[in-house]
Amino acid sequence: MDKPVDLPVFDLLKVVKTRPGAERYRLEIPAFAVRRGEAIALVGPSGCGKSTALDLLSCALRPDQGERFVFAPAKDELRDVLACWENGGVNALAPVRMRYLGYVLQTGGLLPFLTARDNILLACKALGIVHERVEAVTEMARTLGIASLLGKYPAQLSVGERQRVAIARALAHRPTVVLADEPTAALDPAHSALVMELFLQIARSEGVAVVMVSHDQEMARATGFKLVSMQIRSTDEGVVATLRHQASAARLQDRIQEAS
Amino acid sequence: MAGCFQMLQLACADYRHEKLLSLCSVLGLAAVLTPLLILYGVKFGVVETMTERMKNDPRMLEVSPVASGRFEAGALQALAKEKGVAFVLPRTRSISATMKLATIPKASERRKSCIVSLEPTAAGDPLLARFGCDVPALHLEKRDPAEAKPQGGLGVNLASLQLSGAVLTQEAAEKLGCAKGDMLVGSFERAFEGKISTARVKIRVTGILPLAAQQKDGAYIPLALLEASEDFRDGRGVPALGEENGWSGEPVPEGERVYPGFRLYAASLDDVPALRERFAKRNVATYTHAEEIAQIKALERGLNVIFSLVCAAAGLGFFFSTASSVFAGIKRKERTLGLLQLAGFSTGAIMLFPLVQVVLTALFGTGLASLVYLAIAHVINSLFQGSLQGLEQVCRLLPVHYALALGAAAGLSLLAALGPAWRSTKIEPSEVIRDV
Repeated sequence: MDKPVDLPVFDLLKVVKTRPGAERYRLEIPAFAVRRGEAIALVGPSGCGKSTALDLLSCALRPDQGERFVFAPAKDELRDVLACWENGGVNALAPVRMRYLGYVLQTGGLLPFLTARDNILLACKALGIVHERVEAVTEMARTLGIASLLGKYPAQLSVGERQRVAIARALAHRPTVVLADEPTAALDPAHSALVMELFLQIARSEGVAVVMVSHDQEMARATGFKLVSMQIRSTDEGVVATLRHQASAARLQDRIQEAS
Repeated sequence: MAGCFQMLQLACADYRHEKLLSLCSVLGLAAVLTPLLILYGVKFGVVETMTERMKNDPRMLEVSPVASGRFEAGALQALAKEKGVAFVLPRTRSISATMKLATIPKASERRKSCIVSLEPTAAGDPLLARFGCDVPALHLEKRDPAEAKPQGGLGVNLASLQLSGAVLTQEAAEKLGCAKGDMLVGSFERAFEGKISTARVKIRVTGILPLAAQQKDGAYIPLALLEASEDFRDGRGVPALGEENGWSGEPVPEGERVYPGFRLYAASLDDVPALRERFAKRNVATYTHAEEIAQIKALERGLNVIFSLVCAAAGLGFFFSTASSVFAGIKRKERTLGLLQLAGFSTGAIMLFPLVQVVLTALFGTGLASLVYLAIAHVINSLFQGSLQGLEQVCRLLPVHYALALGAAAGLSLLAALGPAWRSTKIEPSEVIRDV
């Protein structure tokens, strides 16, 4: 695999999202960058907005303000997310999302009226790449232990089986970015380890950027994820959460710039 | 667009998956649509039957002058060319338009006779055409008067009589006991200058009009024979019919013939009132069936208004019930739509989801309503079979009506679903994809 001097997949600077409501909540991202092939686990106390952060990264949630928010899922694909939200709304980023993003929810990420197989192949069908991906998907289903369940409907599967199908769905169309919100919460330890290793493996061998929210810090660190903590503090205006992470190369670049 | 086509498939898959709820909406539409179809079917069938019966009855199209007038031959010929006139023929004075018909009996039979009133006819007569009778003609042959010899029990030389065809009414034919093709003797009497004389012709029956066409004792004969009858009774001679046969008298004066009346048929039901107006403007009062025709048209208009009102009320109810059920459906499927948006389907494709499903409901609902309608229409038509003839139906719908019903159901459904579908695009994925 070639290693170009490439941009980070995510490059955020001073992005803010406020959630209105009874408890005023504010997520601040002073700096956040994820490189290709990097596997990050977001950890922090509950209610600190890890899911909000994930939604912002998936380009399905509009930030309130920001200085820079660049999404570069592939070599020739670069999106100024803030500008896209300004001009096209949610539709501007939809095609990019469909092609390059894999999203795993904690539970219930499957469409109830499709079989497991049709759920997994949803994005592949929309992109017209079913033919190419069939082999890889079959292999993945075998790895995840769901090969025999493909003809069943989600209602007929256990929570753990549904979760594994959801993971297969997120990876089926060969995304370059995987966002996972507590993907192993419903799985037993054996399957949890299996899934985390699967994520690491595709990160290393295929350069997929993985951002995972997990409460199982130990297993994440042991598998090889880089842990990123989110801080929260209470202020007069409500709860404020902070997310900060800079890819090592980017930090180096900053230092070089500071020096010169 | 691939996204839209796949969205179609997804919407159908979801529709199939929610079998019971989908069935409920199909039944709901069928329940509203079936009575409307039956109502319209009965209205259309009844009005169509009445209109067809009128159209097929030439007497509905007849326009006759009330009183005697003075109509020149040329004027009547011009009338034939006017818009809305299908057929026009002059009538002679009614007092002279009678003839005595007698059978030619064989050896032991009794002679039967009957006096018939006469009407003129010619090629293109709608009344004869409607009842399948051939138009009679006058067959004049040159005869040598020197060959006149009495023959037959009447003291009449049958061989010397000229021949004319005639169409008799059923009443007359029954009185004479004759059928199509039979030969009769027609005689005309006059009292002129103190003498009574008779002129005769041979009559071949070319057809018999059923009771439905004409009820009195009558005969439809060529105009020329009718004119001859009028001339004869005015004391004039008609040499063409043979002086030896009684047709002697003074010569007919020069000049255009003037008739007291005419037989006229309009080209269609809609022309009848127009013709009546036109004649009224020319100071000719006419008998027409315009009132009956107007009554049927008014009935149709009234029924249309009633049907439209019922339809509007049903449509309004259907609109609101569809809008509310689509809205409820979208609330129920918020998570699915949020997931689809997250997966990268555009808002346009997302909108298609509920819209495709209402179209499916419209399709199946209209299909079901049509099937139930057909069953009920069959029952209704069977009940009324006694009073219908041939292909008439009390309850009837054309294919275009079914198409209109489907179009209206689909259109109204789409309209009702548009609002909620638009709202569905405003769903924020991050809010609905998690169980809070």
